[in-house]
Amino acid sequence: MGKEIEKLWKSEDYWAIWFAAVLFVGIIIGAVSMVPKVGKWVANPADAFAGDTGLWIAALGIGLGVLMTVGLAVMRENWKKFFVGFLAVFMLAVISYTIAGQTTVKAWGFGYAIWALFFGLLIANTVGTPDWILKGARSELFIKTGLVLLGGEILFSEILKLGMPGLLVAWVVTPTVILFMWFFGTRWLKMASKSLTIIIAAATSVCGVSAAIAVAAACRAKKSELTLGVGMTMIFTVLMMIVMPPLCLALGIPSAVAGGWLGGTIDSTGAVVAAGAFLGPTAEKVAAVVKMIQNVLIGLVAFLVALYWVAKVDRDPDAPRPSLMEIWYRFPKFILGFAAASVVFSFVLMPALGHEEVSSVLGVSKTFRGWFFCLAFASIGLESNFKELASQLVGGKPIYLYIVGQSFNLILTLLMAWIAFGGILFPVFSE
Amino acid sequence: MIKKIHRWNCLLLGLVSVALFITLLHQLSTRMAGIPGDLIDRNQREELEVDAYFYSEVGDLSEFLDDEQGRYGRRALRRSLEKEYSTDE
Repeated sequence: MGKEIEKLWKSEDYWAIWFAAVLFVGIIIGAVSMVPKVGKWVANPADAFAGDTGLWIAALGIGLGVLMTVGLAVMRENWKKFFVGFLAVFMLAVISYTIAGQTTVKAWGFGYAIWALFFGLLIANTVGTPDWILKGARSELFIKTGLVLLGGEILFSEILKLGMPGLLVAWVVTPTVILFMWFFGTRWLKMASKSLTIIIAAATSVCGVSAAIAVAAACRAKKSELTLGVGMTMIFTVLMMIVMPPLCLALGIPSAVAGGWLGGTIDSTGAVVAAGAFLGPTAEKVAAVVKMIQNVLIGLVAFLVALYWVAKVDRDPDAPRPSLMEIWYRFPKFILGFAAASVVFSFVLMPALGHEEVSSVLGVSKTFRGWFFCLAFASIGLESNFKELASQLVGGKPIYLYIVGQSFNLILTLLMAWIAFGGILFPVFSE
Repeated sequence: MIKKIHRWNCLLLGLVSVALFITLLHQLSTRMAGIPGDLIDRNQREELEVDAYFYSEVGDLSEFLDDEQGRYGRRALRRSLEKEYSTDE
């Protein structure tokens, strides 16, 4: 028991919660009113740092570095080396955001995650990542902190307002597709890695990158598995964003149904809205709402995956059923931080502060979360090598799983979108 | 030494590939015909993702789907969103 209490200040899982809590409190009391972000640019990258943006971003890097260094010092780790390495990783994150902010790149949907991974992998697999940078590449700590911040964005109190048709499409299809892909991957394809199977299933059925990160952290997957899951998802997202709107038009699918279909199948929120907007305001709205309802499932899916892994996958098959205490000891605690953030924002802060105030808090925390995820992907790239990545692709099973799972997702979501938005169960929405 | 030079060359090649990739995307955007071209073109001009955060807060779909002129009209929501939300994801 004493050891468990000691973990409060010695374990990375708890420190992720403390870091996020410090940032949330800072935002709520007004100590942090904005988080700088790299701007858009067309031909000159310097435009992304117009005005004081560059200085603010440098201050952000130092500020986050100091905050995390305090945690590492308390954990009795080498905080001096971490701080120096962290600044280098942060610079890589800034470069990734800058490339992602170029208007054409942004329009095609190639976000910061893919660039952070790419630049990290490029350095690691050419000149090699220097040891001093690796000391600051704490990918798991960045992921966990980002996920606790993400928890605040999952507002349960808002879900019921979104209406039954959206709930029907998002919440019937998503669990069905996850289970289908899980059984297809483990039983039919007999994929060697269960964690890779669940990462691909979650990324396909819930919401791409965020779901992949949450589930990978929940089942303690290898970094190469997360890299593969995210890479595949992002490439297919771009393809689907471009192909699906003309397909909807060619098939003559009504706007609201098309919106439900796009929202339930395209993986990234930005790509969903872009594809939906092309088909008109109704499709855009329906697509966006279905996607946002689906995003709420990230927490639940991550929680259930963590529980299943602790109770079933990770345990010795010959050992007796684990007790509740044993499950508690092995359960990744940052998932509880994620759930707690969601509950506090939904049921404490929303009634206490009001919708507008909570929205502005989340507007700031969302940008923090983006920086942490970007740092995580840069770190993962810096720690990975192509050989390990290629070994995950042997036999092409992950790609096969993604294609079959996404095809099932497309068919089922179209069917549900037709039932929900096509005038079968609910009145038809007019434009 | 030769190995070291080779590694730095590979890094340089990677960076050049990024520049070429962005150029390719740009060329595709300007030359792509039909719906995909229009979609990318519109994406370059507008910040569409912010809409998602607004729509998710508006309430029941049926409440605002038909209401383009009123409280939840596009101009009003865009103004509101640009103030409140980051738009970089």
